Amino acid sequence: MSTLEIKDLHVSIEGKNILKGVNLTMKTGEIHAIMGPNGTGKSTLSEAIMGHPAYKVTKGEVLLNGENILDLPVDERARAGLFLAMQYPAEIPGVTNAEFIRGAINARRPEDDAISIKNFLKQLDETMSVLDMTEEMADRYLNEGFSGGEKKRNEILQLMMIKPKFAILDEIDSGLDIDALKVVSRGVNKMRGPEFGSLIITHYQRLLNYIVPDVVHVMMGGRIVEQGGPELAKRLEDEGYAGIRDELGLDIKLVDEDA
Amino acid sequence: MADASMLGLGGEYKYGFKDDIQPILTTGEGLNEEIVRQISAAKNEPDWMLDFRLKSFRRYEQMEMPDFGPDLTTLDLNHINYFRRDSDKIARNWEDVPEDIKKTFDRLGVPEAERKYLAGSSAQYESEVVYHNMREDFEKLGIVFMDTDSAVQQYPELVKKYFGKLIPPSDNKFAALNSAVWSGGTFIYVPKGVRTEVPIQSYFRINAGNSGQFERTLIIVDEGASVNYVEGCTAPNYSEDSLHAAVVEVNVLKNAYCRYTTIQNWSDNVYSLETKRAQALENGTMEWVDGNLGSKVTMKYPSVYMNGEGARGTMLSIAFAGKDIVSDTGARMIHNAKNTSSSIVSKSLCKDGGRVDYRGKVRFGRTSDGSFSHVECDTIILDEKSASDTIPFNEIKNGNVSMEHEAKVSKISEEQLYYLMSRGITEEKATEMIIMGFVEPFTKELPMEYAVELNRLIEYQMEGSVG
Amino acid sequence: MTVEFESYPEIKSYAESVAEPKWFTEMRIKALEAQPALELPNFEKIRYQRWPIQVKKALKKFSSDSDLLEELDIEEAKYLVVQLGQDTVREKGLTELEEQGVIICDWQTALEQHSDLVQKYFMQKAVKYDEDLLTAQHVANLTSGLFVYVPKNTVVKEPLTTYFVQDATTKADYVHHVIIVTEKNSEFSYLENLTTVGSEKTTANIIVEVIAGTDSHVKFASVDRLGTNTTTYLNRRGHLEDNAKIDWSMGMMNDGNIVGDFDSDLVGNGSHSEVKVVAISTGKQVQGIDTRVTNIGRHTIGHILQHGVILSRSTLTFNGIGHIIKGAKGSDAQQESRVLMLSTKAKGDANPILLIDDNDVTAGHAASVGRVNQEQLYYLMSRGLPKKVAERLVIRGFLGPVLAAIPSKKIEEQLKVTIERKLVDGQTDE
Repeated sequence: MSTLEIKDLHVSIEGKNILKGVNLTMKTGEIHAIMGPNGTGKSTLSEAIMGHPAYKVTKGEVLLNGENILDLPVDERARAGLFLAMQYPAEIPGVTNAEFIRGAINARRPEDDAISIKNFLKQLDETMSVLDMTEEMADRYLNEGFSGGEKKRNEILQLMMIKPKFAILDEIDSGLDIDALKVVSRGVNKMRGPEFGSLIITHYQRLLNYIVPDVVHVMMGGRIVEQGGPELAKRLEDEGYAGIRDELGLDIKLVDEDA
Repeated sequence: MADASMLGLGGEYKYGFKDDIQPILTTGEGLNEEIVRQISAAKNEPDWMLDFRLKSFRRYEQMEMPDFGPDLTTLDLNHINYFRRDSDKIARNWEDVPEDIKKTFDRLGVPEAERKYLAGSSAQYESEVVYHNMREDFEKLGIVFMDTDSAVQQYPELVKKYFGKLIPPSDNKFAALNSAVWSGGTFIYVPKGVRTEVPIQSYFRINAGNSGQFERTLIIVDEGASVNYVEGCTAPNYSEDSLHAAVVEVNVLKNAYCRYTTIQNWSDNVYSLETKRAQALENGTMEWVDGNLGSKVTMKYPSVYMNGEGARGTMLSIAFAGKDIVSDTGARMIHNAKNTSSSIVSKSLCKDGGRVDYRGKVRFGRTSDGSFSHVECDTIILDEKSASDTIPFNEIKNGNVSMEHEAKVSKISEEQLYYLMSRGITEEKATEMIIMGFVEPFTKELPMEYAVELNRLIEYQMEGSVG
Repeated sequence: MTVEFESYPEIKSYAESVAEPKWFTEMRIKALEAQPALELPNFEKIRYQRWPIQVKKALKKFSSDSDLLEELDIEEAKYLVVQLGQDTVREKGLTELEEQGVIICDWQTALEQHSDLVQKYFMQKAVKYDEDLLTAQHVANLTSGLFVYVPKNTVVKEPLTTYFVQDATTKADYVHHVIIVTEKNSEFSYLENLTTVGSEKTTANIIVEVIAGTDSHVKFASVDRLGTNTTTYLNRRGHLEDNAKIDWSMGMMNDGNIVGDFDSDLVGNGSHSEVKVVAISTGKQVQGIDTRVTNIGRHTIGHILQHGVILSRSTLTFNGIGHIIKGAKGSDAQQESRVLMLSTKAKGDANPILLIDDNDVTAGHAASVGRVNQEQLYYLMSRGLPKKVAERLVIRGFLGPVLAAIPSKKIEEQLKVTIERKLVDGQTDE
């Protein structure tokens, strides 16, 4: 069993403070969801955990099995067991999806023990079929010209092939139709088990019908303001974020509200 | 893949070995009219060729060095050995090639490649072709593939008709020089309607220090015929500077097709100043595939003159300039007839203080109604010591044409790097992946063994580039 | 070096007639003496060297007949300066600006009343007197111009509109200089109209220097309509300090041969230049336009947009040069050059050049040459517009980036009329 602890995390981007002390602890075997209105710092949290260079941690720690990972470069964090399914994956022309995923797997293995092509292709084929992906997706250039839905599926494909300890899914449901949402959820659910934990970031409760979380966190104004079980997500869907804000007496302006 | 090593691309310039070969004939350093005569006499040439050489030599003496591009002041033209002969006859069988030279080529892997992949191959060592063979079935089709010296003797009419026509000696100083002292090179004639799928390959190698290599290649693809020609170049490491000033003329006649693939990987003391030009007649297609990885200085702007209606010209190139390398290359597409089309895709990389420049031209002449050109130049500058200029000229003299031109210069994309690294791939490996992806449009057009070798070379170049 | 006035009687007598300060006359003589060693500037693919572009006539003061202005349609503006030849004919609203400390005056007045300020900026920061033969001739023969000084923290919202009318009823050279200095944290908007009256074969040598101080913002718009028989060297150059910004919008609607040399030197960190040039070439004219942005400071931004239309037997050359100097980290150089060819006898060049000496940068260019967008044409014609009208509308859209930046509705309308006239001329000429 592994643990991921976020302690009093403060993060700024371009000099602007976004996260103002986030605390969260999770273990493998658990699925956590973070919900919150637009502009509240959910994506900042995921990029800061992963180590995007533009996000500056000004205070706090992120511990993986007790070790602070904030000093590690992004690739070492990944090999330590973190995975981020990104909202806007980069496109890399000329590099095929298959060769990239194989490279990512081999990066986790000793140099003289690369995964055999046969083995790799077998796993890839199986995983792609779980995700209803056509074979040609393996030979296309990484994310280049992928539709929104294809990109999301491709993130989950990588997740399933790489098998991280903790996966952060940053709005994996945005831009997906119901069928694609089910497929993506199927992939994540297949990963569920004692050696896998996931932090799901979403606006909507809908995704959580398919991937039922153990814990739901509500984030507002750069902090986690409320925690609960799956029923919390349902409550949010009914009452909106304004309801919970007012109940907690928070002085936070929601983006869509008029001044 | 054993054949892959033939290109001499991989590793720590692994073809930097030098063979100690005593030449049978050499004209010594420097150049004068007497030497030009000597070269011609040594080849037992007809008078018209001697005249051509002498006229060219006079031209050469009058002409100025190029007024653009890299600095050539360190190139001492008086300190070059303009002609040497290492073997006294062209061998027909590999076994007949002199032992020392054979050893060199064995290290390069020429014969294996020939056996396995190629329609024919010819190997040039210093100034003359020493080994030459071709698969019989191609000979039966009437394809002529030989060194240009032999072609002057055996196909004088064809040579006379095309030699020096696309690139007259007056074109530039180095074309004039080549015209005066040329030796060796490849001659290909593909008769009407003959189409070959397998590449024909030639090989160039400069062995001795400060020796010039002035090969002269002439290709004629007759109506409806096609050919795919591949050449690779290597040179050992020397402290003295060598000069390579080739002239290549390709004639693609009506409905014909030619692809000409070059991988230049001279060592970093070679000046590679080449003139390559093709013409494509009615519905003919000329494709240049051009990779430049080595040389101290490269100046090369392969061109296609689209002289017949519906002709097509393309250029696909990569240039990688490492430490102390100046690569000044590009393509020229000259639209002289209706409904012609051209495309240029140029990918450039530089690092460790290398300089990689794109210098190109697209011209639409008065009579180029309905023509089209597309140009894309992308450059990645890998570190802050390196630099790159993109200098394209687009001249339009016809109102009914269209042209699109795009170029980008940047460092490695941080977003791409972050994405790959977020999957656990190291920075070094991720950088390499992005670079491989960047040049992929080029590598995918190469014959397999070249592609593999090219990737190996780039991997080598990229080593230690991070951190 | 002591300058011998006596050896240059023409300059001496001119200098005395206008009572210009000694330093300025000395500079003229230095520029004159520098000329034998200087060459004409080289612009890629623009062959203008044989044109009568050199200023050769003796320095001479003359007055123009103000009735000549009647044939021009001068738009009223809140702040207005009208100059005809060497004379200042009208000034309007300038006293109001003077109260804010803004200096706007013609060249003679500037030399008389603000000699120190002029000396500080004239051919010092943006352009140097001995850069080439044309800049040296400019200094030696300069007879008219405008000086604008905007002190720090001063915002001039309404644009200053100027009309500089070349008097080509005589063969006199037209040598004109504009300096715009904006001090720290100021804002200034400017609209320049260059036109010609008369039709003698003449030479114009015009230099504009914009020196944008830290955090200042200059909007520079121009409508250039010099005459058919005027051969022009037009140099507009910006010198930008930290976080300064210049927006250039230039409509090149001249009828004669012209070399336009438009440069921005992004010297200060974070400085930013947007250069937009549209041009129409008609008749047999040759217009060569060389637009360059040099990124020197860190995080500087240089964008060039050039749209041109070529008609009849004319020639238009667009060079766009983005040069990022080593050390200009985080800088961006982008350019777009588009040319529409409307005649089979015309000639056009679009040469987008990138010179990149640092790697932590983004740079790009796009260029295209083609005909009028056929989709747009089809759409308009399907609504019943005749082809030529539809074509002109599409072209006007193509020239839109500069039209939209003209800070005066009336002058924008005038520019549209000019465009329409040039296009109709070109269309009938085919």
